[in-house]
Formats: sequence, structure tokens, C-alpha cells
Amino acid sequence: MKFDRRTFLAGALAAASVAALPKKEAQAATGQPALSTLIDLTRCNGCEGEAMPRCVEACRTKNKSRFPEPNPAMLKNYWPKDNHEDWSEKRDNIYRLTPYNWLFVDEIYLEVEGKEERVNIPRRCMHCDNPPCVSLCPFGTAKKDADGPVRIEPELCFGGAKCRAVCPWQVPQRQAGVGPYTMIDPLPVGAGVMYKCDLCRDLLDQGKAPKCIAACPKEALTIGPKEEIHTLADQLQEKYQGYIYGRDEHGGTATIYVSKIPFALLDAAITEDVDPKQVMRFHQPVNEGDKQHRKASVALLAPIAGVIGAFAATISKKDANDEQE
Amino acid sequence: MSKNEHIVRHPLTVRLTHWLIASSGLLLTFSGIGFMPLYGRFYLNELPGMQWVSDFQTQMNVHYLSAALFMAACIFHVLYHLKRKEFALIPRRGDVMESWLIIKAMLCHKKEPAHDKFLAEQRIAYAAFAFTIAALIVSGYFLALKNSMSFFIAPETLQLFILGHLTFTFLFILQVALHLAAFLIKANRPLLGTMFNGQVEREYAEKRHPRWFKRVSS
Repeated sequence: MKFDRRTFLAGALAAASVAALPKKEAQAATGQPALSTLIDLTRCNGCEGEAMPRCVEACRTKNKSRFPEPNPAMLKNYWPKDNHEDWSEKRDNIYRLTPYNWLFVDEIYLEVEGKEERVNIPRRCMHCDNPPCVSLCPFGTAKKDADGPVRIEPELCFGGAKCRAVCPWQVPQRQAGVGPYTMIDPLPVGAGVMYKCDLCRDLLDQGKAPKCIAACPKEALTIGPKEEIHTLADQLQEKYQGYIYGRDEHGGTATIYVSKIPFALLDAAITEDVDPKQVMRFHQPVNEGDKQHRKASVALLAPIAGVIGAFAATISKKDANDEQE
Repeated sequence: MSKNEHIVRHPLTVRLTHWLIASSGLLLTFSGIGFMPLYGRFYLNELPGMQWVSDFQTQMNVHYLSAALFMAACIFHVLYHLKRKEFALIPRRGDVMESWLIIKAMLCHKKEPAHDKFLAEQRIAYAAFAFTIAALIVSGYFLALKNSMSFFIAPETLQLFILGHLTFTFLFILQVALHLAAFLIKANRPLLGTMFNGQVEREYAEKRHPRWFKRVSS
């Protein structure tokens, strides 16, 4: 199977009807395999010479109707804090993730084997296999679909930004003045709504590729069934004698980068002279959610202690029963 | 029965279970509310020794630990009393009407109906608590199970469990508040001490809980 944007027809059916199932079975039940995307950094040139990379433009155009339109009266500080996050006057910023820009192309320069290289890196949500934003969202508005995309539904999002705090790439971005918290103002809870890429969930449902993938003139972006994308990544890695990022990092993601340049070098270039927490890195984050699995398992055994304790405590009939008529 | 005009109302096992449920429930609620996340916004994490409240992984660890204690204590409570055939807190027919009569008597300073070991309101409150706690345990257990086994669950179903857990948390907080508010009523205050020392004054028991008193003194 070829994976390019034109032949991609692996649209996902709604997974909502699938109840709790092991992941593989759930994916089988939707009739579609888990999807993955591949970003070939050797192909991307950031649409050199154009006003904006086409993937970014396609993303912004497609999602424009979903961008936040804040209530100006609600653009006030999050009491008792003296700040609030408002990007509504900076909608044109295409150089980072914002509530109005869910994909950007990072352009970095670095020296590799004595030669200056320019690398263009499309960055958006990695769509983790075990996303901590989903595990820890207190309202369940961050959702992971059976076929892979991770999305945030704005209807119940209070903008606490916990999803951003636990995301190793700080992907979700907050906009104040929108969302359900505006309805309970002046109660000092909530701060807006979090926004990020959902891999064009609606297009996937129609069997179409996400807009960024369809728009790429270099065919640097690809989507397809996860296993096939992994095979393709291996083939490209071998072809370029290159490197892969995103397959195993953070416990696995649905975004695989392939590069001729080691990702450690790219990461060093990205973080040079900036606060590493303020940029999207190519680091090796530990998935805290995976660690939590073991702790949750221990908690699940607690009822056994209650059962054993109750039987042990009732062996002796020393205390009289004063509750029977 | 003790020599100094007191009788045993709650044996040590019952008191320990009560306080284990209360303390782990408090910790569960505190760590659970922190998931929202609120504590960082209100500078709680800047108080000495409270930095952990804005660390979500630590919060989760605390939540799991307190959930383990809470579940074990609740299951112990149910099985312990089931095995001992102690059902004095189970609501009985006519409890709603009796509760109304008690409230009316308290408000109008009239004589209350003769109580058994527990008041009709206590039995109703217990049933409400039991329902809320059962819903919290079932939904929480399911969420922990999902986190531990990493199985796929339809996101809408998952959200239903999360919102259900959240709703019952608020109900739990409300019920705890009402539980504590019961001690604003003077007549209930002697019962407060019984949860610490297990004893109640003989005279009080005889007057307010004659049906129970008759049984324990026979």
C-alpha cells in the first residue's frame, strides 16, 4: 500500500460506539487500524519563498471557523493572579503554536560535519499513544480516539492548562475569554479554552487526509495505518542512513519524524540560547502516565485488604452485637 | 458497660474504620480537587510544605494511595457489619416520616420520637453516603483500571465516567458538610465524643435512644 496523501483513504469510523476494549480490538471494531503520520525532514523545505508554509496555511484556513472569538469583557486577569492569556491580537503569529495556529514550521540552522544546514520542521501535536493530557484532564475533554488522534473538545474545557503542563511538548494553547468559564464569571475558576491540532478529525471520518498533509507540495507529510507507516519510516531511515523520532519517545506517538541529522543535534540547535521549556524539542521525555500504570495497579488491589481484614476481625465474637432487635 | 455512667456505643474497630474512611476521604477530596487544577492559581503551592499540591503526578500518587485506604476501609466496613449481622444503619420503613417528626420536634422544642441506636435521619444519611461512595468507588476503580491496563475506551464513555466521578465528588463534599453540620444541633453534640472515645453517657442514651439502651442494658 502506498501512503501518500492522494491514495490515503483510511478514514476512521466513529469510535464512540466502542466500549472498553483492548486497544487492538477497539481498532478492529472501528473497522480501521490505528493511524500514524510520517514527517520526512529531508523533503520539507518550509515552502521556501512563499509567505507561509502551505501546511500552515491549509491548517489555518481549514480551522478558521473553530478559532476562538473571545468576549472582550472576559479578557481580564485570572483572579487572584495578575495575568491572562490572550492571543486574539496575535493571530498572525505563525512561528509557534497558539490558539490560532495549530501547526508551525520551525526553521533551524546548525552545523553538521563542518557544513551549515537548514532544517524545516513541521511541529504540531504528536498524538501520543498514551497521552497524559487525556489521562489527567479533569473534565474528560481531552480525548484519544481509537484510530489515534488526540483532540480537545472546547464545550467543557475550562482552560486550566493542565494538559499543557503535562505535555512534554507543551502543545495545547490557551485563549482567555471563551468557553464555559465565562458563564460562571465572576467565580474565580477557569481561564479559557485549550486549542490544538486534532489531525482534522472530521476529514479522517470522511476518509480524507488532514489538510496539512494534502497541502504539502513536497509530499513530506504522510498518513496511513500505523504499522505501514512504521515500515515506511524504517525504509526511509535505511535509505537516508538517518534517524527516527516519535516512534518510541514518550511511550510511542502517532507522529514519526525521519531525518538525516541526529535528533540530538536538532534538539541542541532548537534549545540553543532559549529556555528549553518554551520551545518544542526533540528530547526524550518519560511518559509519567506509564509510571502511573503500576501505581494504579497497586491501588486496585486494595479491596482485597478490606476483605481479608473484615474476615480476620470477625473471627473473634468478643464484641457483643448491640444492633439486633 | 463501663462503671462511670457511660456505655459503649462504638467499639474500637468501628471508630478506627470511621476515621480511616474520614481521613482517606479527606485526602482523596483534597487531591481530587487539585486535579482541576486550582491550587496553583490560589498560591496554595507556595505555602510551606505544600509545593506538591501543584505537581500533578504527586497529586495522582496521593489520590491512588488514599483511594487504596478508602476502598479497603469501606469494603472492610461493609463485610465486617454484614458478617456480624449489624444492620442498625440500614434505612427502615417510615424513616422519612420519622425524620420529619424529629426535625419538627427539634425546631419546636418538642419531644423527639424514641430512637434506636441511630436516628432515622442518620439511617437516611447513611444510605445517601453509601450510594455516593459506591458510585465514587465504581467510577474511580474503573478509571484506575483504565490507567493501569491501558485498554481503549471510547472517549465519550470515558468522559461519562470522569464527569460522574466529579459529580459524585461534589455530592460527597455536600454530604460531609451536612454530616458535620448535624453537630450544630445541640441535641446531637454528645454523639461527637463517641467517635473518639466510643462511649456515650448512660443518661443520654436512656433518654434519647431508649430502644437501643433497653437492648444494651438488658
